[in-house]
Amino acid sequence: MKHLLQVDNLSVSFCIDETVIKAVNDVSYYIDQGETVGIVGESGSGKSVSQLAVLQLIQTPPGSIDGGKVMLEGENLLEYPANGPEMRRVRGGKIGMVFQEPMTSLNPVKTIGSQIMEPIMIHTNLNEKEAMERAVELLRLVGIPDAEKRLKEYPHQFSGGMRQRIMIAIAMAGNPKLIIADEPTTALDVTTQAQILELLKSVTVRNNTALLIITHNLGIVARYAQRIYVMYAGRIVESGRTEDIFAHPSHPYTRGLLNAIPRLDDRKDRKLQPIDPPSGIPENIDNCCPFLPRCRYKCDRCYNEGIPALKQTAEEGHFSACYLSREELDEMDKNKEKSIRIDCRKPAEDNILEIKKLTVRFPIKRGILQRKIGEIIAVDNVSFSIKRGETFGLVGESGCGKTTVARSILRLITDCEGDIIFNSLYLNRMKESELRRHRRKIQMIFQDPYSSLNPRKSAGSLVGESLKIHKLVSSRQEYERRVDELFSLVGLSPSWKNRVPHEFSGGQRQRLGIARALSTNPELIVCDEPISALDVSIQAQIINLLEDLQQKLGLTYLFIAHDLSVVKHISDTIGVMYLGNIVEIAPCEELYENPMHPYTKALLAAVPIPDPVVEKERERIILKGEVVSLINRPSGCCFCDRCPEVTDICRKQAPTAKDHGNGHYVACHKFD
Amino acid sequence: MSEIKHYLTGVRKFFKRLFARRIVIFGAVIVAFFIFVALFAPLISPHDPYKQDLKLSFAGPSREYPLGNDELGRDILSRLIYGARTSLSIGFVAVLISAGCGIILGLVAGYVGGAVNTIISRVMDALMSIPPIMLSLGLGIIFGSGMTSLMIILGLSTIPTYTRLMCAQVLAIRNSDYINAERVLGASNIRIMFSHILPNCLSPILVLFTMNIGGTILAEASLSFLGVGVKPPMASWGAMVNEGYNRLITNPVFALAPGICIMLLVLGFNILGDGLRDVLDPRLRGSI
Amino acid sequence: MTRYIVKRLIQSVIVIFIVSVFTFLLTYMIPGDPVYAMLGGDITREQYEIAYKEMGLDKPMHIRYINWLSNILRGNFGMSYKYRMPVIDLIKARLPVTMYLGTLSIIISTAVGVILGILAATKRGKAIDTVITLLANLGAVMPLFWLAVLGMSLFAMHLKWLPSYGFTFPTENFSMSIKQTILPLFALSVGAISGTTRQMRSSMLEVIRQDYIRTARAKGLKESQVITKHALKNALIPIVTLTGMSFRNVVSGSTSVEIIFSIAGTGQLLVNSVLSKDVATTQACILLVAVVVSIANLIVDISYGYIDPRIRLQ
Repeated sequence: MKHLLQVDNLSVSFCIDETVIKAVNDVSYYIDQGETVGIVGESGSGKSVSQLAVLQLIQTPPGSIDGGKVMLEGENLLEYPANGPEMRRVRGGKIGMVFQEPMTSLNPVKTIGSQIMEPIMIHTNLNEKEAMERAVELLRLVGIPDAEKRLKEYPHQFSGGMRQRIMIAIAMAGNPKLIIADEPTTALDVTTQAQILELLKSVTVRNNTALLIITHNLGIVARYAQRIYVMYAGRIVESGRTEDIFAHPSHPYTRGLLNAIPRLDDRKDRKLQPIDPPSGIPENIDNCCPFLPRCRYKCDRCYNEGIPALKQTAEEGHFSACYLSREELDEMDKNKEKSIRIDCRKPAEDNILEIKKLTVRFPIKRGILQRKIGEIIAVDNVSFSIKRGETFGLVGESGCGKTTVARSILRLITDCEGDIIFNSLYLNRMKESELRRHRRKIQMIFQDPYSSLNPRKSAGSLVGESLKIHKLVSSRQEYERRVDELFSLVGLSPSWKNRVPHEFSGGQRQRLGIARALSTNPELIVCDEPISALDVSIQAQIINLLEDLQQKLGLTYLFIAHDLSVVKHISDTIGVMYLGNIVEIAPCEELYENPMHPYTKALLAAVPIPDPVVEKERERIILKGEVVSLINRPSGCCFCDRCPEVTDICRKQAPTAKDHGNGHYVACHKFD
Repeated sequence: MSEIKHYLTGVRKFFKRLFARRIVIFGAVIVAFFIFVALFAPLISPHDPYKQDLKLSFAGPSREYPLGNDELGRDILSRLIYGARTSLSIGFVAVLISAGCGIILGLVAGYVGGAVNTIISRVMDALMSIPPIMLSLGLGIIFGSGMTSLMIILGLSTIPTYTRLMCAQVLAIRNSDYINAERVLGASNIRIMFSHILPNCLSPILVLFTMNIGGTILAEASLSFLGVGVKPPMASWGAMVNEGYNRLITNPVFALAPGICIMLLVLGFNILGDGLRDVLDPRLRGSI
Repeated sequence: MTRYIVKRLIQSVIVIFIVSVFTFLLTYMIPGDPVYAMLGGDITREQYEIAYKEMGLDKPMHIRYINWLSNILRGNFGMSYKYRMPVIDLIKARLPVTMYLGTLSIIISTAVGVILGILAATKRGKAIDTVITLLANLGAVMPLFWLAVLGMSLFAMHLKWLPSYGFTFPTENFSMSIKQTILPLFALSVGAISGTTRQMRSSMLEVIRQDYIRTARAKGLKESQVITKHALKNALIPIVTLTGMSFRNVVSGSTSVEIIFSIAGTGQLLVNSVLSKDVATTQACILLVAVVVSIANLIVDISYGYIDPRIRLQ
């Protein structure tokens, strides 16, 4: 049977600084007309490079396509020259591509109209006027209102979600048979993500276009893909139908991934099992299974018998590249530790932190004299409290104000109204000099492990800096001892004290950040998206570390994130924010079982769960419009212009938070 | 002990990356050569550069005077060698003055911000809107000519470049996460400015410093050529071109030799600066 | 956009103000008596007294500045004691010459530099790139005066193809003008061409790496279309701002060129006044050149605002 696209034994390598790196190693896959196929992998798996190779978009120095065939409707694309007319007909005409970064993938100095019309005019026979009409049609198709007017606008006048819709319009413009979407929603908010994915699905279903989704998010492929390929280190390690892979994962990597990611429907006491960091790398690693250094099931055959080929498992069409069968892996699992976390924290009754009516305004200044003409209310009358020893999760999309709240608590933003009460001290009323003494008790872990560590300092001096600032040690030996202790606490070897940050991996850098935060013996740690910048398999390590440290040291966490599955896993109480307001606060289980606010419901519905069976049963709530910018805040309830259950009073009057028992607060007129 | 070893490995790696391209080695060799010549001028130079002998006026190359003699009978080769001294000493001192003042001004402007930043930036803009030689000439009318004056003049005229660069760097880093982390830890402003911000701004400053030495040498040569630079009888390549250009057809050496020296030395510094930029800011790699 | 223009305008005004203060203070920073600085050494006691009153040396500094400024604005820059004529007349005759040479040089060097830079970037790593880069690096280190001197002795004195001195406007005598300006223009432009070439090359290389270029290729555009329709405009934007800076360097270089080729422009005037310590003329030269350069920069920045839609449509 002829497939629409069949890739056979594709290999791509890069030569950087005289080292050859095999990015794609003997990869084969196929996709048929009208199908949706997912390719899953983390960074470095080669998933994006293989797609660029199909379109011959790889820069040929330093990259090179070493071998294989790419059969599109029977002809081998790799036989054609990279810039020849045949490849150009394929690009945009037969295969359309949607890239990851909507902010930089459009030319900032050309109108979007001209950018959409380009592929139309190249791949169809329409003249300019007809092409413009077609462009308008495409924009309407992807859900951009006022399409005719907006043709003349420039990319910077659109939001991220809209730019991605424009990218989809461009990809569809040439009437392609296949669309390749490379991490199309990674850079977008959760609710926008849901919209874009639904759009991709509807557009491809309408035209019977095949869709190849590349992602690291197992939830997305569970929801949308019919078949999946799992890639690791440039090879395909497992492939098959979606239901089969999730129900019977057969490769250690797939199993590891599924054990490592938190799910929205997890039990509270589930302990994540991270994939081990590489260890015991054998000499002949190029001739062994690429997953060997991290595999927990490794056996002698893995070391001696070379690279395992894809073997058929019990199900039709389900292949796994492992010497051990699924039954053997299940057997070995029985003897491993249980994935249950025992929570031995003592419940506390007093509040370590109370936020009362916090409001942060940023003035908008115009003109030479910088007169204030308006203001952005980034945080609007926010109140909540955190009990000692618990984890409070603050969740919301971009612009909701959660980072501003964090910075206000840490007094990085001092211009705010309302009270911030920490251990009964009014932090907002203190001057900086007085505050410095109390700073030791509240610390922060930052989001980006790459920009949160001074690139010029050694790891040891970064972690030990506070010891010098606050004179917490009295001698050199004590300093060294304490720094070593901190390194060990976070799982890093103290012998790495003298290395500089760029010699550490992302996960290790985040550990350094945690060690730095612990160095002052804090009571409260504000975690600002601490794992969003890390790979999926590393995230579990950091989450587990944070949970262990909490048990050991009696810490309280304010955990800020946009990933609801993670927040659910780690938090005791959760607050949901939208456009600067807290719309709902509830204990963890209560929020997920009984969400009340329409925004919370939509947010929860937008998060895909990595389980196709569960996904089929879930209700989809797709909000209209996008998260508006704070300048265009609606009057009345902050959510009224997108709420599916909006009424008149919502537009006139902002609701206040009311207690509905069991610690569950909601700010919504529906429940008044 | 392991700290020192680690540091030395870092230094070794730096030089290995710096000299990975052969042309950077070439640049470094040129610069080293001229520095050597300048340092050891009294030992290398065959004759006294100031000794006049009018009988030998405009003599061509001879065994005793390999490049011939100038209008006043002085040995051209010796004057070339001492010219290296003039150029390099003015170059280094002037750039040190520029960098020193510029870095402090930029650091303060960038970190304190607000009105201080505005005032400093506007003054720097004003200085930069005056074409450089004109600025030097204007300052020249105050300070007169001569080596010390030149050092001050040329030093002052490039302060704005350093200030601007430093200010931009500081503004970019000031609100980054690792600086916020220091604030959260409780570090004082002074500590943050000098221990954290400053070291991270130095890479482009170092590149600018190297290129600037070349530029200052060119500027000194131009001013000396115009007659407002070093005072005679001081040996300066620019002045030598001035003395020699009327005789370019008959005795080309007078004007050609010093010009070639200027070109080579400035080229050496430029190539070295490019090499440094490649090593210190890999984003710009490949753009020369 | 209007906001941007107004902001830039105010910035220019402030800058010009500061430059005026600096040039004003020049008189008082010179070692020695300010009256002698302005009028020269050999004046009578009477003339000294008159000048003293005129310059307002008995009044406080800011009054003096205001007087000086109001004189300037009426076109009275004082008398040049070297040339024995009002400074304003000297400037009126010479400023157009320098500006003409400077503008012409900028136009030529920008055009040539852009073309060479594009060539070098698109054929990166190949022979033509190496040659262009090499030439650009050489051109950047060549002393301008030396190049002028070499050019003059070769083409004017040795080969006698071109005149070695003088200047005429093209409106007066077209062919003479061309012949006289070739050498000075060449000397002036080499540095600017080198700088523009290197900038354009690095700007193009930077742009070609961007995501939107990858999108353009993924649409099926020919490589030449990708360069001309997508890369070029983005790469040119930083060059526009650079042109403003280059203008200042070119005007700076004109001092040497004017001296060597005996062109009666403000550069030559400035050098001569510094050498003879004629403060009034020095002040006027610096102030006026700075004003013209500021205005040129303002125009450049405003056009930059038009070209870049991110600024045009705030």
